[in-house]
Amino acid sequence: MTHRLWAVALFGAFLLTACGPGFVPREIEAIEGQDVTVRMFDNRYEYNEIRIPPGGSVKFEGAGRNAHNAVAVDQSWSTEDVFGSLEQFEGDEAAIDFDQPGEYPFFCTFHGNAEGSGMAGVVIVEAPEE
Amino acid sequence: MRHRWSILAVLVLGLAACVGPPVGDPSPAALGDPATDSPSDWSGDTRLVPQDYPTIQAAVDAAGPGDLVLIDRGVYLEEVEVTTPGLTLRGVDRNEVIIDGEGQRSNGIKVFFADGVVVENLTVRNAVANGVYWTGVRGFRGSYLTALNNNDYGIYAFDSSDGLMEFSYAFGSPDAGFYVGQCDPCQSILTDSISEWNGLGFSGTNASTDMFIVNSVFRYNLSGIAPNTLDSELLPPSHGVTVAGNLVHDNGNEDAPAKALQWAALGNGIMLSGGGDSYVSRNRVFNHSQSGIIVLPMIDDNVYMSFDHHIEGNVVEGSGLADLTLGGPAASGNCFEDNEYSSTLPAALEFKQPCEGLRFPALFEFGSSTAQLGRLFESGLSLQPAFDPAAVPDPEVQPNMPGGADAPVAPAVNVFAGSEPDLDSIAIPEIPPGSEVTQERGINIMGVSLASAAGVFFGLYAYVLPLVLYTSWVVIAIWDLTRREDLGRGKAIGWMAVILIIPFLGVIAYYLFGRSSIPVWQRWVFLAGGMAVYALFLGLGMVVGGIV
Repeated sequence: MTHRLWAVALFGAFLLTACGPGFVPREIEAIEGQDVTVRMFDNRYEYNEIRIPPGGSVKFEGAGRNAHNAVAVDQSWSTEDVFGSLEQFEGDEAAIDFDQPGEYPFFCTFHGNAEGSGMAGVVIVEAPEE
Repeated sequence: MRHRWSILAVLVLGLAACVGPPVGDPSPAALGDPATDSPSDWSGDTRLVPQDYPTIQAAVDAAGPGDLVLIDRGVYLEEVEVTTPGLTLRGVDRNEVIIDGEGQRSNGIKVFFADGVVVENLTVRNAVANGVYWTGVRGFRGSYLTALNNNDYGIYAFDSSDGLMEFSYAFGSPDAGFYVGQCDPCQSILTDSISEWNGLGFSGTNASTDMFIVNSVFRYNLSGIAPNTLDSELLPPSHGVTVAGNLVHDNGNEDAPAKALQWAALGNGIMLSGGGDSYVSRNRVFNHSQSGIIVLPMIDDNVYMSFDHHIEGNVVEGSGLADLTLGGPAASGNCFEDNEYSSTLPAALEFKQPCEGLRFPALFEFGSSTAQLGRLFESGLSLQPAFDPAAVPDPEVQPNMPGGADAPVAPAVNVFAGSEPDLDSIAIPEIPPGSEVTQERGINIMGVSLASAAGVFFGLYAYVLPLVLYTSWVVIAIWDLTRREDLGRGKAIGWMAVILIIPFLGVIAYYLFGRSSIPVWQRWVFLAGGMAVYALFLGLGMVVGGIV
């Protein structure tokens, strides 16, 4: 009987693995961490408020069917600088490091604007509270 | 036994976890909120470009809600961003007022969260992304627009509702010529337009409720009309789309620009992927290498099976695979009735899946679905033909808007209410002069077209061979039951019923729990071994092709 249970368990594990990418958290628009991944869907960022400590990194990952990017409103950084193109498609990644505390608004040049409309967000770099 | 139920419970919960919602919220406009920031009437102010303002953007920035920005002839090398509601951007000549992105600027015109903006009688070309793009708006209208060679969509409304695209022309976009998506209710109409030489003539990802695609022409694209469902946008699945009175022909154009997903759709006329409750009627569809009209699932992070699509009263001919196809797996309620056709997959589709009366359960075929995997495989390995701009003809010059510069000005307020199509008045279009039905039906094996080697590969390993293996399981199980003497007649009949009535699971249950006389190792070999090998080949194919 044990091997049958194993078979069912393996089948279950296969199903869970196969459907894994479909399990995404609900409506979370802010995230904290040392290194954060932000998926770029059509046409929105997974998180539009990202809090990291100084020295942290934000990885922008294409996860939609359209091309996306992340460009600083003040033009001081861009995923293009890292990835080599403004067009990031599904699976394309670009990590941006942030060393200095501050607020760094950004937007997708295709689907957002510098005023924060559409596909836009902000990286907040601040030291963790003691 | 308790452990077994625990594992089953884990399985059920695991499958439920598959159906997680996408992250984020659609705009209120996309959900049909009737509130609008737009005035319903023209302000009376006209801003002339370049007479009063050197650029379109300068005029737009100076304009107030409800103004008219009237653009004179010329090529404008700028990206125009509109955030003022109720503006009308109008060219004095559709073919000679051109906003050119030069392959450098993101969009020709983008309208951000500004309700009621109208764009009309001009051309947008060579944008890196989209020709004209509305997002997050209640009320939009694009009239007498020409969108040429924009690198994503030609004319694009996203996360918006209450819209009209009319008398417009889209050419040379690798995603779709026209797009309306992520809206429910969309309350939007595409009518009297032409879409050609695009990846898709029309795409509507997660476009739902009161979405009309009518009285338009879709030709020489990779695929014609494709309402669809994807997890990459909010509000899945798509439902409530009406496709009526369109002329859909000669799609399957491998020389048109296309992205990977569009390549997967190659050769289909009207393609309903993973949504439901759509109404496809009175279209004329001909000359497609795959299917004229096809209903099939969409496999993304989740698997979306099509449901409740009504395909009625169309004229479909000249299809390489089948005029009407129901690709599986499909949910219930899809129906086909009163169409003119010569072939269907599966056979006798209108008899088995009528719109009135008894429908047979789960009668679909998989060959067309596995063909999609084959196309994605080809695209992942860059096996699709490289796009050659030299192979693309010059687009046709389009007629100007009646009245031109002097036409009445009306912001896009309550657009849908005043334009909702009268379906009863829509007729099946005639074959246009110069066109004829030329596509002949090709060879297929159980619905697997031989047109693509990759399609045959996935057809074999994801469909035909597992089906053959399943058949052998059933035959061997029945043979085993007939020679067993340890079972009474009642138990033997019971197991046969389970095997024959419950597809797949019945015969698997017999091998696992029926105390078959076949040695355990043999049962494992042909029960799990074959499927494991097929799954391995399939998995390798999907990994190599970059599908997963």
